Amino acid sequence: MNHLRSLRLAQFWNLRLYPLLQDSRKRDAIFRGRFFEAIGWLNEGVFSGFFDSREADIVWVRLSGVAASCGEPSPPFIAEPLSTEIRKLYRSKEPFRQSLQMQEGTQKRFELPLFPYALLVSNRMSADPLAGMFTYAIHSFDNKKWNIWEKEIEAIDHKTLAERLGAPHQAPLDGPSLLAGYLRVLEHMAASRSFFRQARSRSPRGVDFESYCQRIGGLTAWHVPLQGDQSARRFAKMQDFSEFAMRPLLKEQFPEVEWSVWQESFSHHVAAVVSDWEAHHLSAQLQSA
Amino acid sequence: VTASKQFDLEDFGHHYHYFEQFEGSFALLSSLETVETAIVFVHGFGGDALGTWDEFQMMVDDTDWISYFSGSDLFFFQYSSVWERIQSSTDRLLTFLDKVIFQPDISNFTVPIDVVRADEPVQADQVEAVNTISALPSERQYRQVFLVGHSEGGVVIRNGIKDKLSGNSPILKCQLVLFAPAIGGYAPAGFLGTLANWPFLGTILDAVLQAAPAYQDLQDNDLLKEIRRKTERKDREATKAKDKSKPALAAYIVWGRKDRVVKPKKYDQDSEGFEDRNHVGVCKPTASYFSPLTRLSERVRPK
Repeated sequence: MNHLRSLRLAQFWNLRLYPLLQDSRKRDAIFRGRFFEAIGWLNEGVFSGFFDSREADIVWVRLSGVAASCGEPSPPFIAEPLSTEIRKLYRSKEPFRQSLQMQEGTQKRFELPLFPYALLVSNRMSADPLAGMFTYAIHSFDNKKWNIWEKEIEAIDHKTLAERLGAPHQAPLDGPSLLAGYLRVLEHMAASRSFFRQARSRSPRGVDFESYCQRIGGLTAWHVPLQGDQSARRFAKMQDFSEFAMRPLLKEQFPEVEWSVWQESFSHHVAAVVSDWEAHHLSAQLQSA
Repeated sequence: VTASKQFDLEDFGHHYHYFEQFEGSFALLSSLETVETAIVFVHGFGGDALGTWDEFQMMVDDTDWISYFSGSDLFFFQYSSVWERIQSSTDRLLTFLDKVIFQPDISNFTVPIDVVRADEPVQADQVEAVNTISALPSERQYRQVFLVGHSEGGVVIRNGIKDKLSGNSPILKCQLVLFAPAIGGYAPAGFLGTLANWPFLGTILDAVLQAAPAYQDLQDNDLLKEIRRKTERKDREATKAKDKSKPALAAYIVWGRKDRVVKPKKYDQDSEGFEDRNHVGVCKPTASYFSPLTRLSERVRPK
């Protein structure tokens, strides 16, 4: 057993897996999304040598009850290639000891040092209650419910928005929280973009960066619903709602500045971050679509 | 479990450790046994322990920088920057420094490992820590501590120093590197002040700030004035007494030339430099902007 690998897996347990066990009564689609993502990190961690395969099997035993109750992974929360990997895990009692490990070489030298940072970015997103609420609502609300919330979101006062952002753990599931969650998701998308740009800049010749994006980026893809017609439409609309909320505030503080300055900048940056998210996180889905 | 040799697993320098007692804060701990330098990063208004320092964490172990930072532990402190008063955030920082840096409480560095080492099935509510391992390869006693702040983080650090001026606190021996500190006040008020420090929305807001140059009238408030007055006075006393034991009284400050959020207003004893960056970008190293790493490394390991 290696001390550092044990430490890493124990911390991963504390941060990502143990909270899921505590939450295990809620087996809705979002719970399954979180669970499968965490299993995906475990799997990739073992594959790259970041976690110990024997210890991962011990953890897997502990999770078996939750895994059984979550059932087989399915879109839109989990796409290829992760769902295939998870199905493989389900078929074995010691899946990680029997799984393939990444060979020593260029790809491993590239991926292994990046793994803890990629996981950190994902941990932050996973622990953000407002972002989680937004993902939940945009995936799960039926049209009737969503339309009611849209009306509420249209009329949000920026002070309420600020309150939600200030106390995310106390935020109720309501319109202001969803809009605050959207803004938080944009920040997480920007953090992820920054990570993948940095990763690309240090990828030497011979590294399959596309495969890296498909496997590592694909783990968190489900947080930002850009693919399903309904959820993508909802996501796009949040941009308008953000502008509605910001406009009075900006007019009040910057009366001499044309509204279009903010609007154009906002649209441009959101489009760019969405485009990069698609490139880094959704390439596997886009390829198979 | 003693494990120093077992840390030598890969050829990259630091490993991550998350603090349970200080939610959101984390550290990049050196794998070396002898580490004499701690660098504590304190984010700004609306920022967080990751986003504010974006890419710092990745770059310190790059070939070009590893020799400067391999002998340092890096701590990324998280606090509720906007919604708590400065005094409350200061109290959190001082507690963090005491329990993690100055007189490390080992419980902040230990992690229970039963879950990965025992085969018996355990229910969620039965996970009791029996065996723990330390994230530190060896006991630490830092010879030099750097406090690195951005925006409001600079105010929180200086307020902490102000609160300890009359004693002999180890914080007075720390060295300060501040990026765009808000020690002269903020430009955008309230909610916009928060967004101005968010990596993504801050960049967008920058376009508005750029279009509103008249908005540069910053307001000093009483707290900021008090921190400055007391710190400068203490520094004058120390200078007069030829007392060089309190380096924390003076800061090395890096301002962004395109910063529209804070005014470049330093204390008398501070030294300063400028970078062609805006408020959110000034402290973030990138593949084409090494300055935050360079400026910090020059102080951590002077040539």
